[in-house]
Amino acid sequence: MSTQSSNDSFFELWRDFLQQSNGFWAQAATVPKPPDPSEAWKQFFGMWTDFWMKAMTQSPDTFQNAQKLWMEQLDTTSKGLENVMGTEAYGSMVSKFFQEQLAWQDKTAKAANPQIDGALRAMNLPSRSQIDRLFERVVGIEERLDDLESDSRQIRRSLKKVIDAAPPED
Amino acid sequence: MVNATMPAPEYAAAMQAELWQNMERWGAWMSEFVVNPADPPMGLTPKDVVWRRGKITLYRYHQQTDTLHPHPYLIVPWLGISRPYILDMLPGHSMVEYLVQQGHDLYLLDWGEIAEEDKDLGLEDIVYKVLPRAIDEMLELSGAEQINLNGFCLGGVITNCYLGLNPDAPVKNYISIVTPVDFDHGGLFKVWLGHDEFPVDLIVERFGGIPPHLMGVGFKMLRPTGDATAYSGLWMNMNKKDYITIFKAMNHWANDFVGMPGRFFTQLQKECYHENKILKGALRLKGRRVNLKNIHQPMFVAAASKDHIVPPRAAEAAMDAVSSTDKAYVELPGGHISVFSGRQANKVLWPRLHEWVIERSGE
Repeated sequence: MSTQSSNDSFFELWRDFLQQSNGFWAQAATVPKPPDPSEAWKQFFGMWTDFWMKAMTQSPDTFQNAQKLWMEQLDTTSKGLENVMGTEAYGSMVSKFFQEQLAWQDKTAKAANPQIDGALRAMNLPSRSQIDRLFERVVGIEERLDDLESDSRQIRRSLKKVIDAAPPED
Repeated sequence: MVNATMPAPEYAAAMQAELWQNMERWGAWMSEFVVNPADPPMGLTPKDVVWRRGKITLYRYHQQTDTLHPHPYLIVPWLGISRPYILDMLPGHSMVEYLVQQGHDLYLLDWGEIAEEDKDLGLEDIVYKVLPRAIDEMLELSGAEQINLNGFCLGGVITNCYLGLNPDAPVKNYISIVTPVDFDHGGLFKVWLGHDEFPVDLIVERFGGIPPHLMGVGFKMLRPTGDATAYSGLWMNMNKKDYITIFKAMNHWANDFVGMPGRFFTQLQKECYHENKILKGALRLKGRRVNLKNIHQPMFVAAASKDHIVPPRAAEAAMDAVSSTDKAYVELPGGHISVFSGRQANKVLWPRLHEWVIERSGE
């Protein structure tokens, strides 16, 4: 038996087992008189054991099958989630969630920030916004230096062109 | 292989071998993740800083061959999200190292650790100041008149805008790897970001941009089972030392998120994902229209068949949008990152890219 066909038969068995067990629980839930719990569990475990007995004898590699089953389950879950999350309704839900979160965070920040700033001032420490402003100024200075460097390079190049174009002195 | 139909002695021996392999896996796990959990150092290809502007740094990699190809090669990686050291992951598994060893005079633009103070960095500054000056610096240092320009992912959006505004840009060949051009086919990000309800202004007002933790949530949401799949793969390959080293490097990088500047994110959400303005030729930067038809250079476009961030259709749209007559599109097996940094990239993408560039270098 090839690995592929044995894997297929393993999954066939797995599917049969799921169908049987679903049928069993559906029947148990709908019969007028509920079955004896210990008898019901005995029947269910009987099905489970039967599945594994068949699987163990039909499949050539138990561990490989378990591994394959796990990876396929992950793949199926991933595709399922992608379908669920790939809808406009989901996109809209995420946006609303963000809006609510941000509104709540904004309120919290507005209430807490003056207290935090006051505490930091009392300890003679800079606040987050002061550090941010300092960073912005440093970045601004670096950008101006870069602009100057770029301009001076352009001027140098223009001068070189003028010098190269000038007639040679006697 | 443990086969339940085996005779008892063989079954016992096979079971013992399987258990022994699992014990080895546990041993490797203890050794590599508990006793010695340090991640391998990355970005080791020797380089110098040749230009800086704020946090933005231009690196030039040390020459490793006797001669260099005539046109210096600039890599423009994605802005924000994560750091570009994945391009120089580990010795022997590094696109940067490969290109340097093939004789390219290689430069890389690193955007640095984006934070709240960078909130005003947008496409205008990048396209009008940062990129032209970095290129100018390269030309000055190398003495060349043209460069090879290579945009990755959102870096490709930046290079598209730069070339779309500058038909006379000193660019000999243009390479675009997993770059979204048609944002209407932008996968889950299009669904999540491409509508009016997304509170981009609120996020930018609150955080100054997308902070790293929010970036992490967004990317993990794209593939919720991604970590479980990665760790399952690790367990199955736990007996391979090389696999563990690469896993640690990739895993470190994949969880090392950086933020995105507020202005750039706003432009990305509104102009790109929502209105697809670049492809429509409707994006204006400082009053000038970005026209992809201004891209006339030989162009190499690469997409990944299993890319869930930039699906192949989003990248392939470049082929019809530009006016280049010499253009090549390749769709390679792999995901958004693995296509250029995965285990097969050194056999698939890198040599193909190098050959394509060399054929057009006029050497």
